[in-house]
Amino acid sequence: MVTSKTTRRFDQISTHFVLGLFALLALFPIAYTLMTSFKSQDEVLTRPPTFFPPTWRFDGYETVFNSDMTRYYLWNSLFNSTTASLVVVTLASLASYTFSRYRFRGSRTLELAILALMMIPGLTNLVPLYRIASDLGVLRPQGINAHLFISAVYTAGGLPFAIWIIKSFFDNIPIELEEAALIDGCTPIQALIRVVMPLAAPGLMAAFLLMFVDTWNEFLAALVLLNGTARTVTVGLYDFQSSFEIAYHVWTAACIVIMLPVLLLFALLRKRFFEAMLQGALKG
Amino acid sequence: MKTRKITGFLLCLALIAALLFGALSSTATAQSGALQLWTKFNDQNPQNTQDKWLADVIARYRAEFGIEVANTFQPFDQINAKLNVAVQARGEVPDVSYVDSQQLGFFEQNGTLTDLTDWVKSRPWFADVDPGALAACTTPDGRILCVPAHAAVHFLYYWTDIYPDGVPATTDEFLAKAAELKAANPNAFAFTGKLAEKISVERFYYNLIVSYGGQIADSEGRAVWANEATLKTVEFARALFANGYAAQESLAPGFDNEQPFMRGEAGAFVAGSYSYVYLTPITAPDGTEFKGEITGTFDPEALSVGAALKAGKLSIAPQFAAPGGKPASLIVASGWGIPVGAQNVEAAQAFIDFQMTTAENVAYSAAYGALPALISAAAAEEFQTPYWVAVAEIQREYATPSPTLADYDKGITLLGDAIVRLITNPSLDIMATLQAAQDEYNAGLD
Amino acid sequence: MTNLSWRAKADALPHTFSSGRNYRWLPLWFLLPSIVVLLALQVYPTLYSVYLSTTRVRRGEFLHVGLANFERLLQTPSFWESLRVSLTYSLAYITLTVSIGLMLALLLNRRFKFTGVYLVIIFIPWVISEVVAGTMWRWLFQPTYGLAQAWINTYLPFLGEQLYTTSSGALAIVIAAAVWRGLAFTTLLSLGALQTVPQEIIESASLDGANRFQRFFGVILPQIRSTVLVMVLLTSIQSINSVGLIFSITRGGPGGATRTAAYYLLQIGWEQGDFGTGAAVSVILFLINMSLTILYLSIIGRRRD
Repeated sequence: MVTSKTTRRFDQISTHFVLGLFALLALFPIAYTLMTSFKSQDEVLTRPPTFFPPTWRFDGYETVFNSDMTRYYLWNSLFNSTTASLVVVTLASLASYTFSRYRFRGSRTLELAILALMMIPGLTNLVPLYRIASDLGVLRPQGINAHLFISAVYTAGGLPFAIWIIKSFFDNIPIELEEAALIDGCTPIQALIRVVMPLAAPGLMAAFLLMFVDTWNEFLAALVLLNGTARTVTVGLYDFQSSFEIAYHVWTAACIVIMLPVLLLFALLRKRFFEAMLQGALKG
Repeated sequence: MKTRKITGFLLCLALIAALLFGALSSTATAQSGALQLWTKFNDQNPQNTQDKWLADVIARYRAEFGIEVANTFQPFDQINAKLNVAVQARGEVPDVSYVDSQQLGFFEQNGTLTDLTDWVKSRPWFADVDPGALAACTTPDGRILCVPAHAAVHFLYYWTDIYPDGVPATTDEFLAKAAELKAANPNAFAFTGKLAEKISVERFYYNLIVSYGGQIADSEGRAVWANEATLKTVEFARALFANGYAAQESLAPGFDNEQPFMRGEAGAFVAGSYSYVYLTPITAPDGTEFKGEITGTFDPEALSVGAALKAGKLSIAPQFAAPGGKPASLIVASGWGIPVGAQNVEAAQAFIDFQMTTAENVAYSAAYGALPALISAAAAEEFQTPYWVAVAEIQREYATPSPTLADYDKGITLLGDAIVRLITNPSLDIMATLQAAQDEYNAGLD
Repeated sequence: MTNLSWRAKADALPHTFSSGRNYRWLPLWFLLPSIVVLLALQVYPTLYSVYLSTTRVRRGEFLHVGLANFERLLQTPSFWESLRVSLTYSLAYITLTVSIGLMLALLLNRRFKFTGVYLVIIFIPWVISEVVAGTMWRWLFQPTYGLAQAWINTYLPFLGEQLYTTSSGALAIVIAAAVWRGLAFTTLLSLGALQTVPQEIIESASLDGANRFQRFFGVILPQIRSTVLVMVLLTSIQSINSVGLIFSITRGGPGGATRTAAYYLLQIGWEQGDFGTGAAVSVILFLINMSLTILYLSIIGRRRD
């Protein structure tokens, strides 16, 4: 054998070194943000800068919790992202099941056409979407209409990618299972719900997480289409940034507050998500 | 399986919570018959004097006339663009909106605002409006597109510890003094200010160019900034950065540039009369701290800047001028405009009438941090403090009208970017770069 | 859509499924909601945008100008400059995310201890919004109080004293932040692809005495070629369309040094209210994305044959 014991040992150490370094690089900005959020205005603005807060303070969080961020934006984002992701996963599973199992004239073209929609820059549609929103009268921040509209916009934006991902999971499920179910007297819909869906569950969950994170992070459509109290966390953070007051401890506290819900969701779903993605989604 | 259940449960919970919150907040604020107002102030969750003013004014208006005003808060750097897109989409537009007078060309170009000329001229308060403020709301062909509420100029705040004899009056003298200061303390800066992005043109570069005897636009709305005056301005700005006289934050996006001044590390700071609202808390170079309170009483003396002025630590002066020239200061007004397509024009006009009473104009201007547009309001006691008297003098002596660029935003963005490129890349040829930006702007006009 | 048939095995299907009246239109019903949503909120707005690109508002009048917006745009130096910035940004982003992602995936694929932990940690930046990530990076490199900038000044002074306010420095920060966020995805996709490569192939290659690089380029890479190409395609589109990070870190500055074409579109088509020209920029960006896609797909297709 070429690999001797010492080279294997060396391999192990160097692998851990490189991976550890990148893990550190991945965590560092977040850690610094977290530390900054516990400083006071004066402690933020010291030279030379320090990593740890000299004293642990909650000034930043106090401001954030008294701002529209926690009064409106967090809830708006939660609502929009949950709604949009659930609808996307539902619609996309139906569509991708069809693409995976049926052939009809133009089906391949239709599939490609839907995928091609991914190429449209998100910015392209903003002014027309504004026009639609204006016609529908859903621009005022009051009421639920603005949230429903932006959720619909997110749904449309996420569908092509979701269809692509979910289809690759359906493609991996052997067709024989459904045939057996059909022979046993299931209707096609029952076969889909009872046989196919449970098998594709990890994939659906992965798609859900992808969509949730994407919509949570979305910025431009929210900036353009939402007004006042209907805005979302990302736009809200930008308001903190663009307001005249410079307060990095408040911004970083807001960053942490915005991060938490998605991090929590990721922590809960991560095992399924990685399993699903590593099974070889997105092959070709 | 367990995590799945937990996740599902949490998601349901989140959805329900969000729905409840949404429903609650919407029932609390939804009023269909209300006057729709757009401002850059947040009355729902007031954070500063301007926000507090709006919350109060809405309450007063309700008490006095029984009319509900529904304000939609739009961030200051989005409100003009949003108002324009709202009008272009021909759907829901507010009945009345806050507008920045510098954007008049933009609104005119896009047909965003209703022509108010005849109406304004018929109002009892018309004779009371300050001519300078009114001019800021009037297009070159004489149409009045907004009703001015305040007028503000830009000038220097400075620490008297650093400049005991005042800030040198000309650019040459200022550079000499800055060199002296740098030699004494390499960590300190002579100057800080917003010197990048489009706002820098309004706050700083345009004033210097005018002071050097130049202009950036002609009466047709075309750019003419490739001239000797701009060249001198760029050379001055380059000197500020090449020698470390200006804090690097001056080139950063946003408002980081205020920090060095607020911490006493920079001696002078260019800003508007309204900026004192944001300068809190502040520390003088010798370490004296001024921590004012943000109150709803609109007393500038209660704020940090007021305290520092009173203590003699802080002072204001017109921006430095070209050697042998006169300082210049862009005058900007904020005003009320009625967008094209507004549903409730009469109610909007009534609201503006209410704003243009002397008492309301005093309240608004004091909260905003600028001199009122009504002459009677400017005579009020609130504006007789040393600070406002000094501001009024700068405004009277040095006010300069907005550049007449037909595509205003595009123009100041191009010019601002060109100057910043010239600063960050000292080997670029000044005239060629300015000319290229000017050509690009003019080619885009027709 | 009358010619429905069960994929591959239509003959083997029970009667109810393939030709039963009740379910004949089932695929249509499954597809319909998606198609309706996409038509209303993707296709229609895009077509409307194409229409807008032939219009312009001047002096309050809505004009139809044909292709004049495109003509003017192609003679605008700022636009070409923004395309150049886009190219630099995209090339750096694609190269770094794909190559580092592949490298990390190779290391993770050795399945030493803690592999799962590393993967989770490396994946965390991806769940963070662009705007949040941008704020964090902006703060790291704040000229006076930023920790990363202070460390650079002390330990790596040759990198520059004020990265944030110099043209190349600002672009480097934006790229670093984008790579930081984007690495997660390429690592995960690469790992997924690597796990489909049978371990025996990798080992038999090492028996032949192939060294690591030969083994990677000669044996492993050809096996995962299509995934790599998909990654390149996805990262290209990502980098061409993205504006969130630039928006929150530099706002396109200083002096346009980080203004990509997408950011130019945001500035001109939104902030400056020139919807016609903005729409023209977006049509051009769409064409660029489209041609890249066709190019990549044809490469993938050729390899498969």
